[in-house]
Amino acid sequence: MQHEPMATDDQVPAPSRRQLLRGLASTAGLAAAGIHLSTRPAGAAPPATTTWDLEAVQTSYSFGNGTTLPFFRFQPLAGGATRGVIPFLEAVEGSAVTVSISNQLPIDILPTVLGVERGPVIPSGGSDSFTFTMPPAGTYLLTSFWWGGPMPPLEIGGTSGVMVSRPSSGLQELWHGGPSWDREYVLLYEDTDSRTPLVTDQAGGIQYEPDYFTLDGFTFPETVSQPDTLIAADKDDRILIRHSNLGCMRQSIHYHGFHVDVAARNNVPETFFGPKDTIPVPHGETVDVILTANQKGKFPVHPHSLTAVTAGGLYPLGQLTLIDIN
Amino acid sequence: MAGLGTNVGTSFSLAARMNGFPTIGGMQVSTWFFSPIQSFKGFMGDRELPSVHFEPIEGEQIEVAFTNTSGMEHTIHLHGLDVDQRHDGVPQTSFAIPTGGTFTYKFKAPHAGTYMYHCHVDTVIHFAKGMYGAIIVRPPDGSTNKAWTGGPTFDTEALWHLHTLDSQWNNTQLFSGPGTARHHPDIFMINGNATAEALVDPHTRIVVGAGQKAYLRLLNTDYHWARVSLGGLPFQVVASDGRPLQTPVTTGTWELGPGERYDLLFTPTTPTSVNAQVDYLDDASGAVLGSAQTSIVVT
Repeated sequence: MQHEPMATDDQVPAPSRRQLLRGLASTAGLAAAGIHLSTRPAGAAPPATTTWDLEAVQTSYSFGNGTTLPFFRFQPLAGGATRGVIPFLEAVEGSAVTVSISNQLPIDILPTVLGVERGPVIPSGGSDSFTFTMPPAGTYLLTSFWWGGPMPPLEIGGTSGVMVSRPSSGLQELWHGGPSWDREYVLLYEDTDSRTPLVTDQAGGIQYEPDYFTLDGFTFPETVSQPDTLIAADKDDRILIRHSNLGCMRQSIHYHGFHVDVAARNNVPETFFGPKDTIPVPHGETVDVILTANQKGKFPVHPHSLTAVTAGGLYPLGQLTLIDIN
Repeated sequence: MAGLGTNVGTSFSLAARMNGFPTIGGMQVSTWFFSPIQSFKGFMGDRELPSVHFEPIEGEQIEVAFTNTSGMEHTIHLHGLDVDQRHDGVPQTSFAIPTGGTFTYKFKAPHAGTYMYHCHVDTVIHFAKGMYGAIIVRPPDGSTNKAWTGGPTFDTEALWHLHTLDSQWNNTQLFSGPGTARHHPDIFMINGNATAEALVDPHTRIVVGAGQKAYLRLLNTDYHWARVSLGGLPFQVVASDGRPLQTPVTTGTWELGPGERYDLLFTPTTPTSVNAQVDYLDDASGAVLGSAQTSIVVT
């Protein structure tokens, strides 16, 4: 977490990535991270199980400066959708979810839903699955680590997904009794170092320092031609934007044209920030904001570490998209 | 006359300057910046980095007349002021101002607080070279000792731009491209001064009487996160991005992401002299890349 001040009695700090990682597969860990599992009302029918079938493959992406880089990616086979090229799963809190992965990568991987569940080590060429109870309503991140490689295991850039837990109330609200919204977007920030494009940490003696940046797998200007990354709405709509960062850069995301309300950080309801125009989104964390579209027009939203709005240094590419209010 | 509280009004002028060549931390660097049209200096009328600040009044219709006196296109993006698309200063959604061109940016000043402006043309290089400045929106009554209507009052006020330079960027790059892929700062500053100058800079160092309230406006105008401490003096974080925080917090250090602004309030109780420090942090590892210091004197 970016801020670790002397907390006041009523400040609820968001859990740090370290706390989330410590809390893997542990109810106590979830509680320490401020995440509390809800219980199903007595007598309610047991929720259905959702299966998320994914395949880990090597693919590539061409950036606007003419560079094409390889990526490891999860691709959905069944049971989910995509946001951009990122696998996306939604299920009701408290329901059972099975993540099944076929690993077509040349390395062994350890899939992990941060703060929720750690999967099995899946060897190259193998398949395996893991099952968990959908955590309380909010935004969660699937990533994976290179198992059997350098120690500690390196997080593998691109093998990612976003999971949204819907409130059991069935209402279009962030959590039961939480903010409501008219439209919803998921923006996943990822980065890569073109010198070592398939791992997101120090490798081969090179200190990881990203120079290519994607938003749901795309770079500007493709972001504004894709329905998942162009934030389109009508005037006065309330737009829920789930910012998720699986890049290694700690980002702060600037909104042109609007202050937004920070609703939750790492699914902990916000009690600290007032309206903001620049939102810190640390690595491995999620920040859900509500934008009230109180003026028409087209307005950029982008990180203010402006190298992230480039591809190989060339501006404007990278993690830039637009809000388009009609 | 320069200083906070001396540029309050509803009408301001800015001109683009691409001819700065200050010596900072013993190194000469090329800087680009904004000055008032009648001046050739930026911040506080005595330096070429950062740009001049201005202080509009909440609720008033504000006009910023920009004259592009330089050889490249530029704009004024009013960061955090939630202006309309036409006045947002983004070439991709509005337009750039060509060499010799003029445009008057108009907006109604929102909630009193700390904002900034910067050029949004080839932003990664124009911003890095110094084309940014502070906007302090004053309360509707124009007072300069009150953070916002109903907000805290103060006896002393300071404004710190937190910024680093990669001298290779500043001295060799005119456009974004492979040379601006990675920012490796070698000059670490507060208000355009490295430590030696910042320690004595009258527009940066803070002098406050024991028992008096000091209000410090922080702008992270860098591409790296910054961690601020006030030499062990505790402070209260009361506002961010021009809005009061729901729950002000008392602490001894604070971190700001690029583009964020935070307002701090502190009331030292005993005479002392300490050095405040800004650490600039690696985006991925959090390691300290370098630091800048200034002084706080409690009389």
